[in-house]
Parts: sequence; structure tokens; C-alpha cells
Amino acid sequence: MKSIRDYLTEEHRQCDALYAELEKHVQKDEWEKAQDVFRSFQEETLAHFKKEEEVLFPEFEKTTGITMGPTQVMRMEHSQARELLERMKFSLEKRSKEGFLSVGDTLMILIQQHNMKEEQILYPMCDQHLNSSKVVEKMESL
Amino acid sequence: MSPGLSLLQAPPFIIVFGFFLTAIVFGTVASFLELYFSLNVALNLPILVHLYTLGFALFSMFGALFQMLPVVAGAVIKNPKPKALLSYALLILGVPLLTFGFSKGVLLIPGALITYAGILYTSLLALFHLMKIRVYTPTPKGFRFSLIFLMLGASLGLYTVLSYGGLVPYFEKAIRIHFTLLLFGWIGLLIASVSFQVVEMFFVTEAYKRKFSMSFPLLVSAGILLSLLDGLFVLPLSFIFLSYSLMTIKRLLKRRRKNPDYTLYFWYLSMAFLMVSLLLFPFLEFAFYPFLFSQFVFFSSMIMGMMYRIVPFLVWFHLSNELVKDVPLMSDVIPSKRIRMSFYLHALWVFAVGLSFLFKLGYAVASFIHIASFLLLLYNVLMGGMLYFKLRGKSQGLFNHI
Repeated sequence: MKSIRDYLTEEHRQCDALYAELEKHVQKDEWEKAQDVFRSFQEETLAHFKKEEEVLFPEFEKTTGITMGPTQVMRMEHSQARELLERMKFSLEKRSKEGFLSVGDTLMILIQQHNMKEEQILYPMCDQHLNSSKVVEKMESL
Repeated sequence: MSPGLSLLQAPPFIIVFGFFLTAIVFGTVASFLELYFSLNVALNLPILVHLYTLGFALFSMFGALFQMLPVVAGAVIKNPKPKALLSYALLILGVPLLTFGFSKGVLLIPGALITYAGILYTSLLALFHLMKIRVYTPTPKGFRFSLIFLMLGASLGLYTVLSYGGLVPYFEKAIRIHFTLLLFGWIGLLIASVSFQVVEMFFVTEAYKRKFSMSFPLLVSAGILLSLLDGLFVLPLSFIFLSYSLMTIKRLLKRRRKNPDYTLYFWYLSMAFLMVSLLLFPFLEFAFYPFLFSQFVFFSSMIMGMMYRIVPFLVWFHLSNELVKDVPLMSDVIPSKRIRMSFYLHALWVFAVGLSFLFKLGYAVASFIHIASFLLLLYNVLMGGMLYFKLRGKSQGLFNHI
């Protein structure tokens, strides 16, 4: 069974790949394809947030008693990412390449630094304190 | 266990911005001095070198460290404002005194002592927090080593200054060891350690091989030790950094995000000149000036590219956390057109200096371009940062303490 870190890191990479594909379509003005890929990117990203917010973070908080620490920061960054995803959707609907790339750049840095903190600090802490296989199983069942 | 992450533990924007802005001011002053020296024929190398390394590079890197310690390593400096202020105060007093001392021969020792105190204080502060955390990644590991090299290199610098004053015996090899420790052990290793983290993050690339990145600080340490023997023994150090630069270029070329991004070109320029400097490193007796110039292009291009990413992101990030409405995106903070112009000016300066080296003239023209390049960088970062202070007044007030 995978560790929490491996399981969720793999999801981060899948989202990165989808975003790179999306950006490529926008660069080439392939708006229909871009809309399709955006839908997958948004779905995957939000599903990943859901796994963390509904399974991982509560488990971590319950076990460690830390409720106002890293998980709180991660939730806040999820909400910032959700807002940027909405702005991105709006730029795509308006077919604004400049607008899309501008939101995309900010979203990517936000997500990447967020992922970095999760992968390097939070997930190893979770693997250390939680029953990894049970948590992964729970997240998969969502 | 790591002390964890918290927004409340992230450093206030003013710390990073203050260090960055001061760094650019030092760079601008140095570029004006470059022009002065080029018009007056006599070049005072120690002044220029120390304004660029201590003024521009050290301030930028300490600013970045205050930001990166909690974010990247989970090493949280509690109540960072007074600590950063003490570090800033010592360096802002010490560095100008030291460089003035190189010019007039007076105040050199007090300048060196105050600068040394600033370096020692900040390095020990960062190291103290870094030693408390469990290291999972190459970046904090590299930070630890590079801070130790910084203290060692600065100690040798202080020793050399004291020997000028006749307070300690003169040691001929001290300067060589001083710049090897600082250029490779401090600046080079720190930049590499940061890039192990941010290349993947900024440009969505393949990660560096973990074996390489985790062992990089030890490899560099061994390389530096060997290089002190001179001759062919400098080659391993060149080879280690050459491998790093090639790996970085490969990753950047194969990056998944292919959108036009001028911060990327700063990286390419930086890596190209790192390689040039490494090729020149074994021939310092004949190529000392080109070596120093290449090293400067390496770290200044990198710092500029990083500033153009970090400042807009922090402005957006902090404003967004402070619940400001209609937060400007990164490209609104520093428009990409101005980043592009900054890159072209910087590259033009590099090209102009290259021509000046070849034809032994035109240094003044190159210096003019360098002044313009630094002034544009100053304008871009200042305007970007000011946007934060302007807009934060409009926030809803919930997180104003951050």
C-alpha cells in the first residue's frame, strides 16, 4: 500500500500535467480543447482538495490535536486556489489568452508552493502519525 | 517533528521587500561607481566586488532566507521583525563602512567588524532554526552548509582586513580561500539548493535526482577542500557545479509549461555564465576578471529572475490573505512587458561588457546600460511592493497583523 505522501504527490503531478496541457491549448488558441481540459483539471484539483479536507486533515487534527497549524493554512490556500480557478474559468469563457495566462501564472505558483509544503512537511507528518493505508483507502473511497 | 506551518508564522512582507529593495539600491550605487571607475580608468575592484556581493547578493539572499525558512523548511523564526531589523541594521551600517574603507583606507576595520557581526548574527539565527527541524529535502540541508561556508568565508575576510591593519599576520592564501568559500560554498550552494526546490515549482519540470541533490552539499564541501590545493585539484569543484548547471538547463528545456516567460531567460543566462566561470576557474591567474564577471552574471541574473517571481507572488499572496477585494494578479504587480525589458537591458549589459573585454574599450557605455538595468529593476520592484502597501489599507482588517 502506498504512503499518504506517495498517493497524494501522484495526484499533484497529474494536476500539473493537466495544467500544462491546458496552457498549451490556450497558447494555440484551441479554446474548445482548452475548455475540456480545464474541466478535467478543475475536477481533479477539487477532488484532491476534498480528499484532504474531508479525510486527511480531520484525521491529522484528531490524532495530533493540532487544529490551528498546517491544516488550517492548507485550507486557506485551497480557498485561494478555488477563487483563482473561478477567475480562470471566466477568462476561458471570454477567450482571453492574456487573462488566462495571468491567472494561470498566479495559480501555478500558489499551487506549487502549496504542494511543496504538503509534500515536504505535512504529508511526512501524516505518514508518521496516522495509519497510512487506512487513510489512503478512505480517500480512495470518496 | 517539524514545528509545522502557519500563516501567522510566515514573515511579514516588509522584511523580504526591505532586504530586496536595499539590495537593489546597493546594486544601483555599484553600477554608478562602475561608470565612475570606467571614466577615471582606475578600477577599485574590492569596492565593486563587495558592493555587489555583500550589498546586492547578501541582502537579496538574507531577504529570501527569511521568507524561505518557514515556507520551504518549516523552520519558523518567531517574532521575526526585530530579529530581521537587527540583522538589517548591522549590515546597512557595516557594508557601506567597509566599502568606504576600501576606498579611503579608514573605517575599514570597524566596517568589517560590523558586517561580520551582521553576517554571524543572521547566519547563526537561521542555523539555529534549521538545526531544530528534521530535514526531508535537499534545500534546508543545503541552507545549513551554505550558512556555515558563509561564516567561514566571512571569518577569512575579516582576518584579511585585520591583517591589513597589522593586527594579525598576513596570510597570502586567505583571499583565495575567502572568495572560493563565498562564491562556491555560500552563493553557489545556496542558489543550487534553492533551485532544487523552485525549478520544479516555477516551471513544472522533472525533479532533480534525489541522490544528487541530497549529496550536493557534501560534494561541494569536498570540492572546495580539494580546490584549496590548487592546480588540477580545482577541477572536481568545477565539475560538480557544471553537472548542476547542465541538469538545470536540461530540466528548463524539457519543462512542461511552455508559455513565454522572461524570468526563465534570466535562469538560462545565469546557468550559461555559471558554466563560463567554471571553465575559467582553473585559469584564474590569466582570467581572474572574466571569472569574477561571469560569477556576477551568474548570481545577479538568478537574483533578478527570482525577484521577478517572488515579489509579485508575495504581493498577491499577502493581499489575498488580508482579504483585499480584487487582488491584483502577479502580472498586474510587475507587468511581463517590464520584466522582458529588464531582461533585454541586463543581457545587453552582459553583451556590452563582453565586447569591452575583447576590444578594451566601451566600458563606460556598458556601465550606462548597467545603470539603466538596475534603475529599471529598482522601479519594477519598488512599484510592485508599493502596490501592496497601497492596497492593504483597503483590506477588511481581519489579518492586518500578518
